[in-house]
Amino acid sequence: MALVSDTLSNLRSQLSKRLGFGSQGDTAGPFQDLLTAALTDAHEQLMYQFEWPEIRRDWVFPLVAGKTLYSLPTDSCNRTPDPERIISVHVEVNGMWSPPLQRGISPALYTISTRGIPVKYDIAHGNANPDIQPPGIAGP
Amino acid sequence: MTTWVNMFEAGACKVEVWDTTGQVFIDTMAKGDTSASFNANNGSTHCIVNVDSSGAVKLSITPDGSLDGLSLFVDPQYDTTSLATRIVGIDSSFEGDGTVPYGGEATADCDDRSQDATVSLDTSPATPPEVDFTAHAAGDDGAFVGLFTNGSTTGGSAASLQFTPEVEASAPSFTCDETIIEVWQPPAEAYNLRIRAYSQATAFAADADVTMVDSRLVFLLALANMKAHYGQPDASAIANQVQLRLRKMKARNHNNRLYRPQPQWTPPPRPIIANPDD
Repeated sequence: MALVSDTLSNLRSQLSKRLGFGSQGDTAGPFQDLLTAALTDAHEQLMYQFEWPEIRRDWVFPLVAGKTLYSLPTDSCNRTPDPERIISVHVEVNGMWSPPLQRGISPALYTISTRGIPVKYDIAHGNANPDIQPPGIAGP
Repeated sequence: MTTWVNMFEAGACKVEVWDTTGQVFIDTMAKGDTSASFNANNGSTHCIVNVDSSGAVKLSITPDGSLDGLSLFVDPQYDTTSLATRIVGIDSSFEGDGTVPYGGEATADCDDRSQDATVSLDTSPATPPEVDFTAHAAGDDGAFVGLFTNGSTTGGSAASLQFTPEVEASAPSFTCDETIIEVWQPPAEAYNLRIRAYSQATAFAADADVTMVDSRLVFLLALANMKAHYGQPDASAIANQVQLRLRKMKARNHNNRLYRPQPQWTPPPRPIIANPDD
């Protein structure tokens, strides 16, 4: 069954009617703000509580030779991977996708700057660093 | 803050010796290696290069020669083009008929000639025996460093010239608060990276924003919460609907994955300990 989605405006209108306040109409005001907040909270709760297959995606982008830090990619639907819910990371070499990369980079590895095929990844925080590359959008 | 590691730490480096007529020695060396002896065209024979266990590289000549016009270079065989380099521990020693302490100058060299710097070879140099080079364009093999003796040296025999080449550690620095992904080791080519993950929630606050999960579920959950908020008696009935729909959807999401319950674990019987009073 395909994902059933609807706009916030439609849901708020239905919610108002089911609560018995349909006569107030869908105009701006404290009541409408309350309904919007209820819907936003419910949406957020369901997003984070369950791992819905509808929100599982692959983001693919090219690395830059010699660069190790990348902003998280955004796909054509303006979606970004949740850094706390990464399932796996893979690298493509000569048309072959690698097994999942191991998460975690020991600082001891920073003593070696030799280039090669990435075998590890990690999530970090930082920007304004010339080493960070804005990845190209190449989502499926 | 820049942290430095010895240039030989990440692998063997090419070591070269040049005199005024051209290259007289080249070899790939690692820590602990000593070269075969070679001759330079300035009359120095039995010259030897060695890399000690700490990664300092040293050119030694025997009493029949001179350091005049000799240069010693270290060329890493891995990419350092985006990293700064430097030479530290610059040292020279002279014995025999030369002036001691020995006067003279050398030029600290790297690919970017605009960064060349003059170094004093005196035993108490006015310029500290350390020269830093910022990262700069270099060949695929990385940025070489070296010392070029200017030919202003006089006298001396059984001399040696020594320095320690270093390269900026490749540890990245994180400055602000954007979530980023880091890979190791640095990619050699423009490989594709695939991140399989659950999407972050997009904004759901404007009228035209659409739900990323089942909209009926969002609606029912919001309705149950609002009915409870207003104390309406059917709030619990709506909450039950939410649970039923949620359960059904999660079951459907299993697709062809099977749930196989594991055999139930039963604790071992408690041991019966005899009462000593019995």
